[in-house]
Amino acid sequence: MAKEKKAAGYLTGKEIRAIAKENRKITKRLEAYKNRKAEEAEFLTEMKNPENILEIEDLHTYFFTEQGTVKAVNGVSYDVPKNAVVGVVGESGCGKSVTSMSVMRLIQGPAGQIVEGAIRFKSWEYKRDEKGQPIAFGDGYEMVEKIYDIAKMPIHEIHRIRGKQIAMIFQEPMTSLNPVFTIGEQLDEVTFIHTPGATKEMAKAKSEEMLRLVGIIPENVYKAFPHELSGGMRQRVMIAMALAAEPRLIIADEPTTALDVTIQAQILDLLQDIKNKIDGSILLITHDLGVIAEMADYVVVMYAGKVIEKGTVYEIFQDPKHPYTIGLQKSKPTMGLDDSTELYNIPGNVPNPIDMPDHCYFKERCAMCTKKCSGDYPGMVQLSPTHFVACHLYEEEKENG
Amino acid sequence: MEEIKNQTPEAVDMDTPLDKNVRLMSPTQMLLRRFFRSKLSILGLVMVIGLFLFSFAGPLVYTQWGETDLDKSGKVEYASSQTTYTVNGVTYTLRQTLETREVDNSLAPPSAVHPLGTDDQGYDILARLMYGGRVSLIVSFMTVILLTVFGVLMGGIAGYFGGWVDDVIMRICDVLMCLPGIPILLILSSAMDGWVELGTMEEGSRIYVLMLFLTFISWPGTARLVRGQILSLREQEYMVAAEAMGYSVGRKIFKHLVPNVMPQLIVQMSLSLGSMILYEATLSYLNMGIKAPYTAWGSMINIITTDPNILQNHLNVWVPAGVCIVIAVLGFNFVGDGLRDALDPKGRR
Amino acid sequence: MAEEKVLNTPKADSTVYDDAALAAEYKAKREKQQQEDFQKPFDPDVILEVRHLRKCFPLKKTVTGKVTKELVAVDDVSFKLKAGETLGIVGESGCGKTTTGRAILKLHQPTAGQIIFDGKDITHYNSAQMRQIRKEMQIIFQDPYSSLPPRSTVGGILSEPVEVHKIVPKEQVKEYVLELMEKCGLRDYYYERYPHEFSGGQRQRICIARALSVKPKLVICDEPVSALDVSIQAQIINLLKKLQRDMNLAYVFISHDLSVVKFISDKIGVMYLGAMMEFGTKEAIFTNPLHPYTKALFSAVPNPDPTAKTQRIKLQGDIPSPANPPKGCRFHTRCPYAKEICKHVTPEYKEYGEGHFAACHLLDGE
Repeated sequence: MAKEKKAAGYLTGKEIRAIAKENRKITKRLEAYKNRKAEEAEFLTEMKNPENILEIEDLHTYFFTEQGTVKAVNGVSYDVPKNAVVGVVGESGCGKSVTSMSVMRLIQGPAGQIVEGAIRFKSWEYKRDEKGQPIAFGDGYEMVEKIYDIAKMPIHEIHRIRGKQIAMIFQEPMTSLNPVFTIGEQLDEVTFIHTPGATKEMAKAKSEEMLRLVGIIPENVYKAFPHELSGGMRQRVMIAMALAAEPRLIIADEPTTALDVTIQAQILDLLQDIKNKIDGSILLITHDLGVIAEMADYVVVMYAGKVIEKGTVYEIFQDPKHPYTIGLQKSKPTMGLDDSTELYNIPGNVPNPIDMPDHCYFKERCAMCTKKCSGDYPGMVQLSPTHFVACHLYEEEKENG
Repeated sequence: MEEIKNQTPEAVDMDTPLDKNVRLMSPTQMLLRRFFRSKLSILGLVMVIGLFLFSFAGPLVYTQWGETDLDKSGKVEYASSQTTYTVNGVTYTLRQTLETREVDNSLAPPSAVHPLGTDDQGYDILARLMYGGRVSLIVSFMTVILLTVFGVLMGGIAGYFGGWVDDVIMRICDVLMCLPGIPILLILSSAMDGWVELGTMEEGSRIYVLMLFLTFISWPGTARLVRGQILSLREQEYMVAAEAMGYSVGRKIFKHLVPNVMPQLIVQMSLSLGSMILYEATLSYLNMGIKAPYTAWGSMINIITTDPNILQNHLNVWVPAGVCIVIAVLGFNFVGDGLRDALDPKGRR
Repeated sequence: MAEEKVLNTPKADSTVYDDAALAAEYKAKREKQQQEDFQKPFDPDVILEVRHLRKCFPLKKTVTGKVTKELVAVDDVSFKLKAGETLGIVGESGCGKTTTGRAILKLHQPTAGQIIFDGKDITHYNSAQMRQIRKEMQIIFQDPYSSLPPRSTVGGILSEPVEVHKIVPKEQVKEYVLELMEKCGLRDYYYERYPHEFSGGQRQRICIARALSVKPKLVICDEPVSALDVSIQAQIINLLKKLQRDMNLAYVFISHDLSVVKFISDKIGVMYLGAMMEFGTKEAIFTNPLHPYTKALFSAVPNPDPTAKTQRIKLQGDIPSPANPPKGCRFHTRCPYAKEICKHVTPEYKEYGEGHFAACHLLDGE
């Protein structure tokens, strides 16, 4: 009896082999597509809205694991407008980081693959002649605007945007700096890679400027090794490195999660400050609603690989519509004094992303669930020019008027 | 926002149908899957199992020749001669015909009777390979088990208690690791030759002395591994939890620490099996291991040192033993590497 | 607020301080105070009392084993906790909150001070005596992944302590464990499963069930929800509160998350670099924080209301290394209101209102 129960919870050997066979077939095809040679025209495209710098449309990123296909990102669409901060919020495993890794094409193959969708990015780069050399123009070089579909780019072309056009700040400042090089060397390297013909002096001047921008006195830190700095300082250096290439988009993946609360406040202030100084957008990924509320202009709420609600920061925090967004906000104890003995909580667990059902993924944990929720996965309902929600509750409202 | 009521005030962990849909791999399945993903580990497993079957089940099937059965069917022919005597006018003719005498059938080429031929003494090579395999495998297994038990004990004590106990044990390990194994074995072996001659030691116990000595010089590796593992496991929060639970020292070591060291130990054991086979072969080759009439793979190669003719012209005498040694060492190493990859916690999701 | 004014106008201070003499004076005074306190009788209502707890870790040793440099992880921490109450300890990394929790359980032997648990001074209990008393005090860890042994089933993990401490007769163990699992919101079929099959929240429930299996009186919760998602955090906090009501447990709740500590605690202690900066009831700490560090900590929490633009008390610089804490008041290097005296004289930890303690020179400013 006990044995039967146990067996029911596990895959059989036959199923495991079937999964492995299927995975090999799919990943082989996708790897070949990723490594193909392609003309530039193949991955050039047009923006839907010229105001945007990044448009993610119906992105599907799957992980083909031994236990089944994990649909980590399952049809995600959102835009990052010019000079704006877009906050992506969600719990662990909701696919918020995988989306950003897909934008950087950092998904580890062969298990992880972008299966479908478009990532359109407006790149601002040097105009190059036939030999690939930048064309001089006055003191600098001639610039040209190109729109790439990152999802279609062969992997060896990705250096055109990675680091230079889109920079990334990671969660763990302790491990994202190389311990054997000084801060100065690591910062200079960014300039050497991304600016053609940069001299040692130019790189150093640029690095010092960047350090000053993030509130560090360069004399103290330029020659220091990473282990000599505290966590907050390292995160500042990481930000300086991200800024050094003058990217158009900075992806900050949980930039303050590993920091203490008083240091987090410093870094958030710094990011606010930088946002006004640079000509670019920030894609901020975090699980902390407070950070999102302070930093973001637009908010995207993700759950189990899907976007369930998106809108401006005011719409999401003052008039949340999706039961999950509402529940998430109520679950966090407030700093104000109240005498409630119970916290509001969303029952159940974040679902395991293998074998998702057809109906709304939040149905089992939802307090407002209706009959309709057992039907198809709800589509996006537009509530205002900027506010979208994926929930059956609002479909009727919309239809009725 | 107000219309949402807290439906589950008791904070029950509901398992939703979403969770029930999910079916995972059991730990064993995961381990097997990772092990069998590598072609080399499958090959290694096949090699090791094949050798075991060959050595232990082989003699049950191949019963024509035993380990110490000499093939006496060799024939030596004498040339005939004729001598005539004349005694008292009568002529006697002594005619000597072709005569054969049975001797050891040595260095016979492969044939139906001896699939791999015979060696210089007239032993059947195939049978000797099987019995030699038994000896080689048993010796290495026993040695590895001995050294593992001793190593776990010493490493466990050093790792768990720390302080001066740890210092003393680790310094002993350092000293032992500095000792050159082969030269000392040579000296020991000559000493044993002397003891056997004096009659203070029996020829049969030579192998046990060798095993003990191999254990003695090899345990520090295992002890260091166990100590390192225990040091890192001790920092794990579940060990702190065990401490906070008030478990006794014995329970903590044997119920919580040792089972978690097992995976690394198994890997280490399978890797040292390979090196023990090599050690044994080296000794036997140097004629310091198993001696006639018993045999081991290394001793079978030793034949080539006695007669250059065999090295050149009778490949069937010594090449099979060499192949067996190579297969055994490679097999154990492949299995060890495969197990290491399968058990590596970093590779696990 | 009157005090705010005091804090904002540091007076010019021209006194010359002799650091060595001051340190000696402070030390003598503190030792005298400690000797007095150690003689005081034990309060029967109090389940846990900590008196002048100090824990040092050796950093450098000479060949002969003499400690030449040490890290003072916890320095002179005192508090009382009644049965059924929760004490919250907040602070940033390196403030000694985790060490305090483990020293109370004697997982680290305290360097100095007294720990009185349930009317018994357990500071100098040997390991055999401790093993007897361990079942009365338990701990829940932050990381639900490393705190469960990977090679035992949930049933094995939960029944082992019950068997070792003979909580129920042997034949009732399984029944008892299943009942406990239900209480902690775990399904009965989890009994046969291994920890790696569960999500963080479920694992944390298993950890809670393990801690409660021996029917403790005191549970140290060392950041029990920090590694969990927000929606799961709320479930675990509610579970802890429910179990506290049912079993009359006392909690020491250690966390860096102020909102969580505020929600669950009756009393709150704020620690910085090993020392208690402020201690009081939840109401006192949140409505009337005295110490500038407490105020800064509160204002640093990001507000999930985009319209509220909070005016932050900005703390400059980083947290100093606990191996090398600043002289005088530990907080003076980052304190926006620091005066000359703060750099030299260690402030006394004094009562400023009914059960509301703080250590700050600015409060004696008048």
